[in-house]
Amino acid sequence: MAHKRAFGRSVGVKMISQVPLEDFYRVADSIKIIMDDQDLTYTSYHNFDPKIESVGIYARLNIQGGIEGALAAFDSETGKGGFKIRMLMSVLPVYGANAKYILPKVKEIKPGKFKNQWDKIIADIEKADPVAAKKLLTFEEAKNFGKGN
Amino acid sequence: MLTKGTDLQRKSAIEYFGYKCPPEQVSLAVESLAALLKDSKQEMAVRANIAGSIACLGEGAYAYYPDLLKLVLEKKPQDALGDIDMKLGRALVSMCEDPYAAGLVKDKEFFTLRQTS
Repeated sequence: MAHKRAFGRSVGVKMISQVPLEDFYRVADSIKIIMDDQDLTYTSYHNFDPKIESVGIYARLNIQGGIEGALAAFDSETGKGGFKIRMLMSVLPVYGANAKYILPKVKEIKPGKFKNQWDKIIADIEKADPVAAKKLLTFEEAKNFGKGN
Repeated sequence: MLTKGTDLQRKSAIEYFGYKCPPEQVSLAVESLAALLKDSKQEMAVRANIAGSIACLGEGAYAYYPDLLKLVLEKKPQDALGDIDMKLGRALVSMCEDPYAAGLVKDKEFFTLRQTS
């Protein structure tokens, strides 16, 4: 996951993309570096794969920050819009009702050719029951979950 | 040809048993390939090529998953750009998308080791 090329990082994150919550602490710091784009020393000519995989892990383990991580890609001048939209569309349904708070910001994005899927995802989140939603974990809670087990 | 010949001949022989090679043919060579994979006297680039070929067997190669992981952890001073690690990573991911569900993650310390070494 610390590989100096984006593809190397991608396969690193893919290897642990199904990591269970109790083992998350073993890889948490490496994933956070990718999520927060802390290491800018690697080269990438094409895609967001390492980030897409990392965002997916956050969403699957119900960790706060996955949507923000995906949204942060839109602030970057580089990267194809389609990948950014697809990354966001892959995590929003997983967060469900927990994504309601960020809908105003999400609605500012123009989804282009993805409009139909986009509108359905937003409608589903608006309809989702917040009471039934699983409580989000903070990064630290997720990281500490498996320690000592 | 797997063990003798020029680098190109060996590479070709190894890659023959990779992508789209009928599994029944790979099965005949998998033990020879695995022996070379584990042989520390072989060049790391050769071992990474073997990893790529063995990985094409998918579930049939799960027994070698730990060997591939160990290769990732080995020091590779000649691989300054990380090409070998990238090949090994691609082999691991193509062999098994979810090693947790497949029961292949037995030594969890591997993940920590890589981060600290």
